[in-house]
Amino acid sequence: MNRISAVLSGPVAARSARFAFVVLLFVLPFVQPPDRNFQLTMVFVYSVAILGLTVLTGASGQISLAQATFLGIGAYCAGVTTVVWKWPLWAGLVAAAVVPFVVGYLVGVLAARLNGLYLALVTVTIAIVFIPLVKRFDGLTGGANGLVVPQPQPPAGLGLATDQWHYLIVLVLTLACWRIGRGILGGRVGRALYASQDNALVAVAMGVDVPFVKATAFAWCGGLAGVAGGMYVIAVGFLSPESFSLLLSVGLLAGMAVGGVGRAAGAVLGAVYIQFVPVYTQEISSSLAGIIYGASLILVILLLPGGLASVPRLLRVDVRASRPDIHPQAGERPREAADG
Amino acid sequence: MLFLQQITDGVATGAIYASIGLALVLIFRSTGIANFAQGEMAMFSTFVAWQLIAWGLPVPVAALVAVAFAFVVGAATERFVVRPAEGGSHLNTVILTFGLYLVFNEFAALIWHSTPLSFPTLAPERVWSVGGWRMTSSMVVMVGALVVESLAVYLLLRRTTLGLWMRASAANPESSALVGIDVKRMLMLGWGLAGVFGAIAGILIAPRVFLEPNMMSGILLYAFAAVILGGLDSVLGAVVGGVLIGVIENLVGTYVTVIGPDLKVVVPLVVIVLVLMLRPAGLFGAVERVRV
Amino acid sequence: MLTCCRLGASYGRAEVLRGIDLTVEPGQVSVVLGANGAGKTTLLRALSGMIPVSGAIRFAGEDVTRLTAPAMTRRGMAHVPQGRGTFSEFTVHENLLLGAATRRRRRAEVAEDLDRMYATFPPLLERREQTASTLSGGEQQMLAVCRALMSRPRLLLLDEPSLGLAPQVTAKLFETLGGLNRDLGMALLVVEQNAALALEIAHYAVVLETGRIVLEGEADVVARDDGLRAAYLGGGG
Repeated sequence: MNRISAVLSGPVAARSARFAFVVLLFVLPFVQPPDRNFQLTMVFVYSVAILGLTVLTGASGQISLAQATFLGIGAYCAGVTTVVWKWPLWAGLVAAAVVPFVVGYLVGVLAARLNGLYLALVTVTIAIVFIPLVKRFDGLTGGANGLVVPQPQPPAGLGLATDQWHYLIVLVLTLACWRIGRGILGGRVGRALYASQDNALVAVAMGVDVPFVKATAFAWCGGLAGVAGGMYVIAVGFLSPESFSLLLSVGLLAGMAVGGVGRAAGAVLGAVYIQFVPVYTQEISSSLAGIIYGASLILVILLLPGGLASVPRLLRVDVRASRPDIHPQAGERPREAADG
Repeated sequence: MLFLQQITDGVATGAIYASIGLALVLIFRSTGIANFAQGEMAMFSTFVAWQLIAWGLPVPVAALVAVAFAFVVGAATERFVVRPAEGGSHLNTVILTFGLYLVFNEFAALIWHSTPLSFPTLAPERVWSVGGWRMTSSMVVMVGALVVESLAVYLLLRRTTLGLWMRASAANPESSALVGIDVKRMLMLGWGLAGVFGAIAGILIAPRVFLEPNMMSGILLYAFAAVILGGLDSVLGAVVGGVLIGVIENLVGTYVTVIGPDLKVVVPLVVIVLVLMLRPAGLFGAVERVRV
Repeated sequence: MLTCCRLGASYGRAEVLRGIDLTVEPGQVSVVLGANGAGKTTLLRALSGMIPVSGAIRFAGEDVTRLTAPAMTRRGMAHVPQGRGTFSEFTVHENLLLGAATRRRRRAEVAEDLDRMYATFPPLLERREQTASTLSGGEQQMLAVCRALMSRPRLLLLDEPSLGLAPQVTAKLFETLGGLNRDLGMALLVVEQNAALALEIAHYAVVLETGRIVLEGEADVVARDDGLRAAYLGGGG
């Protein structure tokens, strides 16, 4: 009896459960109606965006109100390169990942010198400036009218519907991002991130280049959001600047707060939250979803001891539990005030 | 003449930024946090004014009632939403204000929908023209409101006992409690007053930009740029910063063609980044510790 | 005038004070002694309403257990915290004005009291418009005491008033405190590390150790206690 329970709760069981879950994900599109497939595809998109936020806020304790902006940058990179410059889709996706990664790094260089409040302000500003900028360069971006991006068609002979094909591409990309995300959070980079947040002086003493590490966190956050943007293009096929607003950024934050606390996989929970709340509240009012996001964000902050700052503490517990070979070097007690 | 026009227009819009900026400074000085929902709260109060006017109240009366409403909402927000988060990190409280941002914004959209509404000026508009230079009565009112507000804040904080208590509560809440000051009431007062200034700014700017839920998000940005430029804890900084930003914005929008009127919003971004990199305390602020 | 019964206080799960029974009579100087960490500061914070407590506190015949600090100050208990709690960025004058926060409506009386403070402590008058942080340690302590006096308290709580002060300044300070008690009949509850000086002006003494009272009695009796002398007065002599 004991051995069975030991096996059931051990790492082998966990890994088998994850494997089974992934297999289930691949099977789902064939048993669900197209609109459900689309919704799930969007869940994957948002989950990668929230994963990026988790790396930034969770691991390195920085705040960004511009995650939707990075999503938009990635989406427009993929869209513009494939539509205007006729690049192949895979190249567009690479652009979608690389450009926000670089922009994120630049923002991160600045961010490393700012405390929480000022960083929030700078990212809000970026978020607000993005929309008129996109509209201004309407030659490239289609401006306020938006940009139609031809979506990939399933190869002939496979018998797949377009929604299923999109679902599968996005799923594969999501799994790849997840692998990357876990690698960041669990590996040497992750340890450096936690160290730089926990006790900057200790980190510096250990040779961790804190500003560089923080900037890298921003880069990863942006890069992941960018990939999510590329996935958005595949799933939706249409880009409009208003879709990547500050309201969406706050929504992503709410998603991370509601779902992302306690486990890295919470990004998926958060994405489900963001995607499905509007589906159910749409009939009552299109604004109800936003009210719920805002209220849930407030409630999480008020009810969770330590608010979002406890996310890193809880995250670290989760990562360490699954990778016992990792020991964050900056001490056991996480710092309460993440704004410095 | 065009230049002079741009300056005057800039001063008038700058007065609006400075009014919101005053609200931001009030809250920052009394509670140490930056309220990102300030603009949305102002917008909501402006909608309330609109509703009262739609129900038949004369414009000045509706404005007064809406301003009183803003005071109550501000104080209540502090009491029921912000205060429970006290003791947590400031970053958490800042994120909290984003939650409030969403709630106020979407709640307004829920009640009044998103089609832009027209909003009347407080008094019938009068225009004076000297040569090619145009000055409207609403511009005068905007600047006048700013002058009155900043004088009021200055006198309140520096010359009254109540202001002394508010400053003391912000600087040293523990000692303030020990001398018998009800610190919690001071905090509510600070937020209530900030709500008042926000509502006044909203009511004054609405005739120009049309009333809709996203009316204030751009303006909030300018207001933040104004207080960053002037110093987050400085009343004088908010006024000077606001006017400067208004003027710079207008001049850039008119004379720097590559930016033009639709990209004017780049101005606050540049100002914020420059100030934070070169002199984070702003023109008149006390030097703040920036994170290692 | 002040009685507490089975008073207890905790920080989180750490119980810092246990079963404290203490009485301060009107016009009496009581001194609380003990090593660092014994709970002396916590005791004062508990009495003045700064932290939640278990047990009961009665002040001037009223049950004040659940009252917060501003309410206690309004009832006549003033607390000068450890480190003086000066409003450091405010002027001397503003500090004193703040002390009178509970007497807002009695402007004439407050003005009179201000004049009296300045008359009794000329250095404060000299530095009236100076920022409090520019004052010397002794002057800041004087300012803190005057600030507390501005609320016309019946009982004054002082937490380690001699901390960081030079010996002559401390001596003068205790002289002043003794004078307050003699001339105004003000009750004092003083927490001190400097046992010798405190015992000189005290009527009653209490010794705390790890949150409990281990010794109490008339000040001169306690001063002669051998255990106390060994622990706090440097033994012998």
